[in-house]
Amino acid sequence: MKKEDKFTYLDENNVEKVIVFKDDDFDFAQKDKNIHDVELKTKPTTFFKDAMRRFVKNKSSVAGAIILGILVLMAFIVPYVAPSHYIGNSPRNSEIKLPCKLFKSGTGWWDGTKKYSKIAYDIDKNEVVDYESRAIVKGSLKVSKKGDYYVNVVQNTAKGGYVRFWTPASSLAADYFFKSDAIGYNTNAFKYVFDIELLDENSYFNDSFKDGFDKSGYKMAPYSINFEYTDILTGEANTVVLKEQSSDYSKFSITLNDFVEPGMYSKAKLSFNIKSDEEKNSGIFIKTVSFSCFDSLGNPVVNNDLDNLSLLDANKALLMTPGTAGYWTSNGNKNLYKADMYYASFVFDYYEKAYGEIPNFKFGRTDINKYINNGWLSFEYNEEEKTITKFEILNEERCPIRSADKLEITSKKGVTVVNVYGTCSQYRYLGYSKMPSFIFGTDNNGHDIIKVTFAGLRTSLLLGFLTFLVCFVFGLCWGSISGYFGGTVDLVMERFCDILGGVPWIVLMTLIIIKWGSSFGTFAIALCLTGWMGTAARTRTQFYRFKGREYILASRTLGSSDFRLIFKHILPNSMGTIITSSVLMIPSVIFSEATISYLGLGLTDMKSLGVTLSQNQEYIQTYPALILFPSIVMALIMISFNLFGNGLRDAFNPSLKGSE
Amino acid sequence: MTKYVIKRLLLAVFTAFIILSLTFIMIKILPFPMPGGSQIEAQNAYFIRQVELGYVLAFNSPQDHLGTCIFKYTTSGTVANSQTTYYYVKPVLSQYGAWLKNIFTKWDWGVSNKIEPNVNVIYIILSRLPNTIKINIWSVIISVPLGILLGVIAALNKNKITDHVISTSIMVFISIPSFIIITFLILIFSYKLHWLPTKWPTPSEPLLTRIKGYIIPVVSLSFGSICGYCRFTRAELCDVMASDYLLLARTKGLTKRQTITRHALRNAMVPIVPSILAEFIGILGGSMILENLYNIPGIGSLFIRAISDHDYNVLFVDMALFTTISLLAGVLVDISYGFIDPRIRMGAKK
Repeated sequence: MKKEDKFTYLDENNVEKVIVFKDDDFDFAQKDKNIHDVELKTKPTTFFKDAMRRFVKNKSSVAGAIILGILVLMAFIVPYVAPSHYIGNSPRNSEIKLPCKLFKSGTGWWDGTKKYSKIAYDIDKNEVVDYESRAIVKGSLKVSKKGDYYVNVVQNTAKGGYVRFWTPASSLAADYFFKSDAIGYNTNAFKYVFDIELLDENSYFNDSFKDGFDKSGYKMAPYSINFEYTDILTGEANTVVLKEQSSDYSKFSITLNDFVEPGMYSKAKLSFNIKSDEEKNSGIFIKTVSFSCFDSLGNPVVNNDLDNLSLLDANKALLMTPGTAGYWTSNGNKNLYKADMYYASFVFDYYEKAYGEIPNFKFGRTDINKYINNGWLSFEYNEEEKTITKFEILNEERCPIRSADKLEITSKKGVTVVNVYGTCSQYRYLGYSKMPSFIFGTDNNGHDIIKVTFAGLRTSLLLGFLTFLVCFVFGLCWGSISGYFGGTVDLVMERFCDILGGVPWIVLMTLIIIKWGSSFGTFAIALCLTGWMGTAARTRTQFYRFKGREYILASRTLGSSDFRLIFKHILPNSMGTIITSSVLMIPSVIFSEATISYLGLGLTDMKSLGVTLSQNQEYIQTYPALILFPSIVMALIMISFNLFGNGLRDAFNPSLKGSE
Repeated sequence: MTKYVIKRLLLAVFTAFIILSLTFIMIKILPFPMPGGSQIEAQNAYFIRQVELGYVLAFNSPQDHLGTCIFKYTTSGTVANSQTTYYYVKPVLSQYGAWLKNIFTKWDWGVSNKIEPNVNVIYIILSRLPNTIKINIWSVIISVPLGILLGVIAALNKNKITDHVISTSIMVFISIPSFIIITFLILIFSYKLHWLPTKWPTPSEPLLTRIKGYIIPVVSLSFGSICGYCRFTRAELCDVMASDYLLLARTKGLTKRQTITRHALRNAMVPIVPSILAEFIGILGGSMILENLYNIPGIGSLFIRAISDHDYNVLFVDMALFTTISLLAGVLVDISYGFIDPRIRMGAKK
């Protein structure tokens, strides 16, 4: 049993406590070991390892470095990997400015489609004006109903309405007429009838339709209908009033034979004559004027000329140009009133338009031969009977001709031309193996925006890196000389820098580019002219810091030359700091280049990111996607470069060591 | 102090002189700027002015030894009494001499050839300067308090979530080039939301539109400055907050608020105030792209127009203005340091 030491004490509640100490509780601090200096337990590290460790600790810098790495990698890979955009030298119109497409068409978002509403719809042809029906996403087309929209402006797709024929207030009561030239029938004794329909006064003023006309200052005018003709026998020009001054605005017919003897006239025209009101705008609305002709038995006679002269559709009549048979004109004011208009809202698939299937496409014999030789197609035809005897698609992926509908064989001067009409798959025709989709669309030259952007980024990075290298080497030399020798040399060199640094870089670059053009080389030189000064100043500071140190003095004492001192002793010590703080020159060069591009002096022989951005600026309103992606890449590269550069600079800055 | 100021000013004037001379010579090496317009009389008037200024020589007969004739003017009238004037460009250095004489004796900076033919360049610049200055003043008014406030908030909450949020967003916004910020502002607020005009309103538009027209230029100009001030203020204030004298102030019994307002902020302001002065002047040149993208008739957009129109005289005077402004900003910063910081003032006295 070992000897125990017991201690007893009273705690704050006056309870007795005992503590027992055993021998095991105590150890000798020093018993048998040798007494000598202990070797260092800490691990050795170099300046770079330590800087690396401190850099990794800075999370945002690491993130910046990763993003930067990805972007740089993409800048060098994407332009080579991305497929070529179009076959031939120039893109087709439909491939220009395609919208962004990431998902399958019909997903509704980011699928290469655009929503349109209130686009004119041609009700006769059952298609949207200027938009191919084949590219309209199925089920998305909605056409307005009759009566939903009216227009008062003549246009191709409007239908019906009234010809509004008016005279302004306070103008003298004047005759206006609306004439149809050359109703000249002088040979047969048929019975001619004019059916005329006008807009009823009451319905006009009671109409709740918001037609854009101010009805308050408006009055339906009294009118008369005249018939002017040349008498075939005497050659005299006559005017017959078919209907007297009237305020009857409705449907009526006039039988011409009641006024003029048939077969007695030529060069006739029908005119509406309205009386102007001195206080209000006055006018009438003509809906239809139709001519019909009956034989002596009362049976209608088909007469196309008469039909042509009829005013059956106000919009169509006003669209007619002088010289056509049914041309209606006036020497007063005329316009359209309340024509029916149809509008469609739909989703338009631009990729379907550019790369989808088009029917009835003409394939030449050479095309077909090429497909057969490639083994895509098996095709035979009978030349005599002009029939296709065999049509089979062998390569589903590549064969552009999807069906052969018609064979056309023509012989001219002994040369037989064979054409096949059929459905053409455009993307296969252009050489794609599947429907292309550009995530950020295509630009105004039909190029994939991603490819253009990264190609531009590559140019910008190259320019930045090249400028960095040149400026770094030059700045290092300049700063070394200035910093090492000091004195008058330093003063003169510093003054030089002051003066050159005083010129705003924009001014200097502008001058150089105006003088020598903006090729890649000139650009790099112009950027280098001002770029080296930062490195020079930093190098100079580092030299001032190190040149007074003891190890320099020691080396000098041993007889080292200036060259050896600069390049063996001082420079290696300061290199890390100088490089890392000069790295930030690359983003600033990219920025400068982009700025100059915005001034209209950008690179001409290569497309940089700045040039892409500034050229796409004009599409900011119509195709913002053209700017969006390059802008994002530009912003990302600047942010990541700055984060990375700042992190690197801080990590390599010895004065910040241990402050975190 | 006076000696220091004079020395700095003289150095700046000397630098400006050298830079302007070099710029002038470089501009004169470029092809001679020909007048725009189709009226031969107006073009002749431009050349007569150039002769007066001493850049061009006029002769009544061809002078082949002087190089190529840049312009030929024949007075109207019969063949017998009409007279032809031939114009030749003087050598660059003698043009430089003429230029020095014009500036120092008459303050004559020449005329424009394309933008507003035969109009004095100084007049063109002065007529556009107000727009640029207006935008910049508003930008400074907004960015200084905001930037300093954000910087103070970040510094007082150093290494807390507020500081991290502010510092990171500042880092991000300072990295994004100004033209991208402008593009996005126009894209979102003008074209998508239709809240603001898409370009600089003309004076004839209603007051509200004109006020709205200021928003995008001022905001986009302020972005950079706010970030700059904020970062600077934060760094300075953090430095001061960690200093020994602030600890002393706390130990002698001042509250935290008192130490910050009486000691920390005032000391931190020493480098901030000069930077505001520099920014105020220096920002004038920063609005070049903004003015171009937003169609503001200021001196920045004038610069770009002068480049595209090859109106080198306007370009030169505009460049001279930018150069002078940037040099002036540098001098002002140095001098104001002296006025604000007693340590520098005392140092200069010795």
